[in-house]
Amino acid sequence: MSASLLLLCALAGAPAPAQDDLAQDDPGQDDPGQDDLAPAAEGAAPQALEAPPARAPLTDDDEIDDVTEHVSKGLRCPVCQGLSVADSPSDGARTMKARIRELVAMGYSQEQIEDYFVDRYGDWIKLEPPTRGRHVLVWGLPVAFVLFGGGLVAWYVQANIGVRSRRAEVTPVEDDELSPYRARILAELGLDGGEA
Amino acid sequence: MTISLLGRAAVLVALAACAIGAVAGLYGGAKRSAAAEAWARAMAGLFFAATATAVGLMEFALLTHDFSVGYVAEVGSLKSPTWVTIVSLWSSLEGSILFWAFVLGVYAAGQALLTRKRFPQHSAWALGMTLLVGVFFCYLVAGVANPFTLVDPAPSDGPGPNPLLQNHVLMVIHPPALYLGYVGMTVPFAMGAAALLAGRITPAWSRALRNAMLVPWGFLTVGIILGGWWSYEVLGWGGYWAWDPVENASFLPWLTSTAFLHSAMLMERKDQLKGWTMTLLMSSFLLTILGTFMTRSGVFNSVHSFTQTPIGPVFLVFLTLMLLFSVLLLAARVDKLTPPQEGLSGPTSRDTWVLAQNLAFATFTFTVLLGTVWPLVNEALSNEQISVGEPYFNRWGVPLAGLIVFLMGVGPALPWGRATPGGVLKRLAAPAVALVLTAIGCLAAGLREPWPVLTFSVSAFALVVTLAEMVAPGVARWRARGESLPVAMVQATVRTRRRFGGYIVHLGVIAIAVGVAASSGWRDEHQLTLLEGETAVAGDFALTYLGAETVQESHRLSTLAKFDVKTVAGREVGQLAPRMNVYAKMPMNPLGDPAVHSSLAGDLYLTLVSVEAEAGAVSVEAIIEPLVGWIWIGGGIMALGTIVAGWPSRKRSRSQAAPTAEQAA
Amino acid sequence: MNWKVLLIGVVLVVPLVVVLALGFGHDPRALPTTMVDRPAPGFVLADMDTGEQVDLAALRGKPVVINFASSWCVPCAQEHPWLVRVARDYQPRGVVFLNVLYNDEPIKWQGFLARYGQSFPTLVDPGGRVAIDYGVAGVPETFVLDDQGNIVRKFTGPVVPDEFLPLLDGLL
Repeated sequence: MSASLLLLCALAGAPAPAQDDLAQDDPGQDDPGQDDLAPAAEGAAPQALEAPPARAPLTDDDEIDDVTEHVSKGLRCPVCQGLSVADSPSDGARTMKARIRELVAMGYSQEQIEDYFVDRYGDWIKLEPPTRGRHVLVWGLPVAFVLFGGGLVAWYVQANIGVRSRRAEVTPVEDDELSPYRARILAELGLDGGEA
Repeated sequence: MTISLLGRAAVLVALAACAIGAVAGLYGGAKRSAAAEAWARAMAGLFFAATATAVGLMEFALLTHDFSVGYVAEVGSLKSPTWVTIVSLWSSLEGSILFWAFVLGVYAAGQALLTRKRFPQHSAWALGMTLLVGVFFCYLVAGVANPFTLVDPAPSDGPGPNPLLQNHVLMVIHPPALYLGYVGMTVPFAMGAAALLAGRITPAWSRALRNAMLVPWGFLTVGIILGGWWSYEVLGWGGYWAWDPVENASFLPWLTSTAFLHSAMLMERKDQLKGWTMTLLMSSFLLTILGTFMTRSGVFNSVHSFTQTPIGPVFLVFLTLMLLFSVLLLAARVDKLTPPQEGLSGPTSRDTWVLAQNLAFATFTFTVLLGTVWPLVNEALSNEQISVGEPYFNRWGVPLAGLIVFLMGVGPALPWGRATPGGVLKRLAAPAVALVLTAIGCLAAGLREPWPVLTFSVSAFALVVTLAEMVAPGVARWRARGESLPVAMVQATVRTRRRFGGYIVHLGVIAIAVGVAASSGWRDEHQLTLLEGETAVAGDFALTYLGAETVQESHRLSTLAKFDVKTVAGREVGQLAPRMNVYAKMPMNPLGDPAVHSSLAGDLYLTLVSVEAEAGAVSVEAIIEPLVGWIWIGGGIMALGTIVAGWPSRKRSRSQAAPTAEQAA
Repeated sequence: MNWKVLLIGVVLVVPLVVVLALGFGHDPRALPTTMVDRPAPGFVLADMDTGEQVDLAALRGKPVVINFASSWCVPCAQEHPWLVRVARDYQPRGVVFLNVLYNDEPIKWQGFLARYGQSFPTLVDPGGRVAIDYGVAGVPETFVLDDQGNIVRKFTGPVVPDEFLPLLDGLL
């Protein structure tokens, strides 16, 4: 029985270094952070964030929190895998969430941040499958299912309305003059073995 | 040593009983032989007795710490408290399969007892099928997952079960409830297969089928909800459902069996949809086997799953055989079932809405199954890896759940027979007003999240319809008979108990829908870092950190961080002490143990992030979850409704015993 | 026999079984990496002991081994003493070894080093930015860079000695 991953997730005891720094930093003014992001390295370096932020830096803490929450809901915690970065209590996820918060504050859009993580980790870091190639199926098949099923139900109801009723007497056409409840319930009572 | 031998002997007896009983039952069904059926019944009893003995022996070995027994050496520990030792039976693979076989033994014996002499065309077939499934599980216990292996020399102590499973008392009831649900699906499956094998479904048999499904359905419902509650209380992220493959595995058979319980009404009343209803029935069982495979094969990536075990391939073979058997049986026999004798009553009748409900549930099942296996499909086709997680499932699941709650309102408001458009409007007017008023109320209160507000509104709609339907029989009787209102109510409710129970279940579903919508829509997280004596505010609560404390128990070392909690207004709420437990088995991996203050309005949920004892500092996550407790309450209401609906009735069993009922169709 | 039912059933059942069977070949927890065969993301991080800034770009021309580790991680403790010995052999031959501290406090890591040995510098990675740049999912993870600064190999979990040593020899 290995819930070892789960254990890793619950590794609450492993110290989260400088937790407050991470969460409270205003990364907009965090110069070293900026340097890390755009390393002065060779041209072909993987730099999803080489492009400038899509927006101006955010300053409202509540707004930053909301966007961070939204973005981290869509990314998978690499340690415990089943949970999102937003939900996972693991240190790895907390670190990632703090990083996402920094990027959000700098003005990077959700798409830019997701692209950055996908670039570094691969497609699996996103909790939703991509919408390209064969993955169109995982998005499209449920729609096809419901359309086909709806058609089938409509056809079935149409085709079966005309069938002659063997027990017509217990499924009366409702008469608005009578109390609708009464007629219906008595019919049901009759079917259920009660007295009608 | 002796226990190991006795245990193995008991398992072999169970295996033999299943094998003989299965042959006898199937032979008895095919040849209509009462003698063979009697054999099958006796063997079902023996199967129960043997597995009960095996479980008893294992519990004895666990409690006496007999480490010469393989399973005890694997999960036992002298340090574990007694309750942990007792529940270790299902804490690991081998024990859980033994427990599974035992539960199947209970069901088989119950089935043998309750179907006795009442369904001459079906009961032998059905018993044979149940025991055939029993052969497989006894084979597992006797072979690849044998818990009674002999360990020589016996160790003096064991590691104890997985700490996560010792962390909360809910672990005592969640797995057995789930197993009772999973294993119990065997009985309706066997009964459905019997109907197909016999080539006919009598009204009495279809009623018995529905009752047979109510039992595992109720347990599955409770098991799933307790599982959510357990993960809420233990895992420390304040959530209860993550669309993890193993969670999905338990949800899938719940969806199909719920669809079955509704389409079976149509089958019972109008003789309609027999093939489809049988498909749902068989799918429910097959999905439990698929779910067991998912949990135990190591193929799926889940926090709940057992590690790679040799049991996976064996299970896949069994699953494949059962799938092919079911498809072949359906294809071969579906045309033999008598065609419907009665038509549907069109879009203003309940018939059509049962079909709509079935479509919603089928779509839900299909989507969850597709999303769960898609990463596997993808890996089979390429080397890249992708995830299908919570956002994907929520995207479909949230609207579908809203639709289902809505249908739960429309369906019961309509009669089985045809209704005039005027009558329909009259009946839906009050609930529709409730829907609109709730929506307006939410918006006026400043609630803007679209899905939770929508869920609230359709819940109000369904609530009004359900309550109206619950009192309708009593009111009708009161008007028709001139009895006093309370007498009429009680009388009518007793007479329509199954229906009444069904609506209680619906009330539970509404409570859950509201709880899920509120707790996910308005979940509010706060990261707090406090020094001793400091106070911080989270939502409506003010938390004062009182300090940390260490508690040593035989199997674990706990660090508690104590908080005094008041409302912002100053009312005392009490002390909360989230903990961090270090288990002897895993000294490197402390496990968080959150502390929760619950009320009907919502929970305050505290998880320790870190404690710096020397510095007197603590870092804690405080989560406010409105109305979350209604999910567990809703689960309780659903269980109550199931009991009300499914409680055996004296009168009905006598009427079913009459041979005319069998021959009527 | 209703062939329509049979056909639909088979179409649904067979692919499901095939997919589940193929699943046995995979470890659901093994995560692929996108970082191999790409230039390593650059960084400037402080040495934990000396406080000196270490710039990866300045190490161009030498193979570099970057080991992400933490004091609380069990497999790190298993691989570390071996890594310390290998570094003693290979550093004089021109291979640069670096630890990057992942989700840990220097003081705890110093205790770890006192216990398991030290022969190469540890860099502090505030906020795990570099770890995320490298797509680190857990510890230990070890990246091997050639003298052009490209990632040629990533080890997830403890390094595999039989593959690690020939790899280093090949890079020299």
